[in-house]
Amino acid sequence: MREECARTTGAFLYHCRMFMGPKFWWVVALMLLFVPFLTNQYAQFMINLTLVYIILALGLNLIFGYTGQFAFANAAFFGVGAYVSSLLTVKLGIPFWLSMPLGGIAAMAIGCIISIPALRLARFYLAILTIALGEQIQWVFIHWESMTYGAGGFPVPYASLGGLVFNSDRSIYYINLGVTIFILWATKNILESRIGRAFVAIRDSEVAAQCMAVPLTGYKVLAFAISSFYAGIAGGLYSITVGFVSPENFGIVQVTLHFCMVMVGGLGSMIGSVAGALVLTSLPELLRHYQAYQEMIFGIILLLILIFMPRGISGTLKRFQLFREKLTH
Amino acid sequence: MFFQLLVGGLANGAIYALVALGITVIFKATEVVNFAAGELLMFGAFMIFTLLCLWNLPYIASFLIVAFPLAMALGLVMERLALRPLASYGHLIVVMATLALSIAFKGIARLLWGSDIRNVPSPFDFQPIEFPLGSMRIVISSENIAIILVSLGVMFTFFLFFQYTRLGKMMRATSENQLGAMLVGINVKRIFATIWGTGTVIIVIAGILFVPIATLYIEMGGKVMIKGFAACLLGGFGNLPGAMLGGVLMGIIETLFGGYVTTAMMDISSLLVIALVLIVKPQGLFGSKVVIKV
Repeated sequence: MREECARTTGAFLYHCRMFMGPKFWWVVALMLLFVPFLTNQYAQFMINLTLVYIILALGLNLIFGYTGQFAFANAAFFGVGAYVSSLLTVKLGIPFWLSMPLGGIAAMAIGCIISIPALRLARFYLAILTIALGEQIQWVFIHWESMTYGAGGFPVPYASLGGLVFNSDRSIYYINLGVTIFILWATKNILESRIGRAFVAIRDSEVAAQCMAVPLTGYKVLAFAISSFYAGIAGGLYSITVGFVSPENFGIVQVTLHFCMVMVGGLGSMIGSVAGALVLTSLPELLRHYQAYQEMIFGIILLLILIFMPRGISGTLKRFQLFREKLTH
Repeated sequence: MFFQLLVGGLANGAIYALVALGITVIFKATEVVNFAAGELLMFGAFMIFTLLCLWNLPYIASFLIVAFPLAMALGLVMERLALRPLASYGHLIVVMATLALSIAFKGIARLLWGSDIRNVPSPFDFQPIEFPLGSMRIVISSENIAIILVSLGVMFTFFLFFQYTRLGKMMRATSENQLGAMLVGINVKRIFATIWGTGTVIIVIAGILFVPIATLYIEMGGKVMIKGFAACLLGGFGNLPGAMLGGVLMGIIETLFGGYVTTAMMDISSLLVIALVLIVKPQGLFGSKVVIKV
C-alpha cells in the first residue's frame, strides 16, 4: 500500500515536472498581465512591493548564494538606488525611465568601491564589514540633509513615460512586472553563461576556481557590481511604488529581510529567491489581523521553515523532483 | 573634559565588553555568530525592570534571579528547541535561526511589556565620587561606579570559572577541539547547551547593568549588539581577553567621538571602527594571525 502510494505520488510529481517547461512559463507570464483586474488597491500595492523584493532577493542570492560572498550591504545599495533615482527626478526633473537606470549605475559604482576592501576578507568578517559600511551609507542618508532631506524623507512624484502618467498602483504594476521579468531573464542568462559558472566555481572552492584560470578578483568585483546594480534598480522601483523615500527603510532590518528571503527560498536558486520574496512579503500581511502576535509568529514560522526545510523552499521542491535548475546548490 | 568623558566611556565600555564576551564565548565553541544577542540584552533589561519596579523586589535579589536561573533557562531552552535541531545543517542555518529568534523575541517582549519607552530610576543610592583633577572636578556618578565594578567582578568570576572549574575546563576543551573532547568522554552536546546558557547569562547581565544608564524600549538591543561586534573585532574575533578590552576601548572611542567631533557621530563610531579594523588589521589588536581570509 505504502509503496503504491509513493509510486503514484512519484508519477504525479513527474507529470508536474513535465508540465513546467518553457511553455509553462509563457503561460504564467501571460496570466501575470491580468493580475491587476483581480485585485483591490491594497493587494495590488503588496504585489508591486513583492516584485521589488524579488529583484532584491535575486541580487543578494547572486552574490551570497551563487558566488558565496557574505556581502550584506545590499540594503544600502537599495537606498542609493532609491535616493539617486528619485532625487534626480525631484531636483533635476530627469524622467523616471532614465533616472532608474542611473540609480542602478550609482549603486553599482558604490558597490564596486566597497568590493575593493571586501576582496581581502571572507565569510563572517566580510559580513560584518559590509553590514557596517551599509549602516554608514544609511547614516549619510540621514545626515546629508541639504541633499537627502534628512531623516524625514521626501515624497516622490509619479513616474511618467511620454504622455503616460503612472499614477495608480495598477499602472505601476506593469513597470515593476516588466523590470522584474527582464531581470529574471537576465539573471538566468548570466548564470547559465561562463560568468555564472565562474561564480559557482568561486563559491565551491576558490583554489580550484583559480586553478581553472578563473580570475578571482574580476569575478568577485563583477558579482558585487551585478548584485548592487539589481539592488539599485529595485530602489528606483521602490521609490515609485511607495511614493516616498525615507532613510529608515534602508538599514539593517532591510538587509535582514533580504537574508531571510534568500535563506527561506533556498541558497543558489532563482526560483528560491522568487519563492522567498513571495512568502516573506505575504506572511506579515496574512498575520495582519494578529497585530500583537505578528513579530512572534513571524519569527517562529521562520524557525519552523528552517527546521523542516533547511535547504529552503527550492531545496524541498528539488527533493520531490518538482523542478530542476542547471546550476544547483 | 577628557577625563570626564573617559569615565562615561568606561561605563558604556564595560557593557559592550560583557556583550562582546557573551558573543565570543558562544562563537569560540560553536562558530555561530549570535544575532539574538541584542534581544537577549533587551530581555535582561526588561526582566530586571519587571522585578524591580513592578514587583518591588530588592535590587540584589532581582539581579540574582534574572541573571542566573532565568537567563540560564532562556539560553538552554533556546538551544534545545531552536538551535540543536539545526546544528547538523551548518553554521549558516544556525546563524539564520538566531536571526529568526531575535525577531520572535522582539514579538514576545512587545506582548509582555508593550512598545512604550521606559526609564528606570537608578537603584544605586550611594554617593557619587568627586575628586579634583588639575583645575577641574571629575564626577563619577554612582551608576557608573556600580557598572564598572560589577562588570569587572563578573568578568573576573567568569575568568576564574573558565580557568579553574571542571565545567569551565570542559567548555574550553570543547571549544578547542570537538572531536578531542568527545574522545576524552566529554558530552559535547550537553557542553554546547551549557555554553549557550553561559553566553546568555553574560549578555543578560550586560542588559541588567545597562538599565540605569539606558532608556528601555524593544529595539534597544540592536545598537548595543553592533557595538559588541565592533568590540569583538577590535580585540580579534574569538579572543576572550581581546573582546573585553575591545569593549572598553569601544566605549571610550564612542564617547570621545561624541565629545570632540559631533554627537551625531556617536552612532556610527562603532561602524567606523569595524570598517577600519577589518580593512587595516583584520586579525584585530590581539587576535591570532589565523584569520579566515581569502
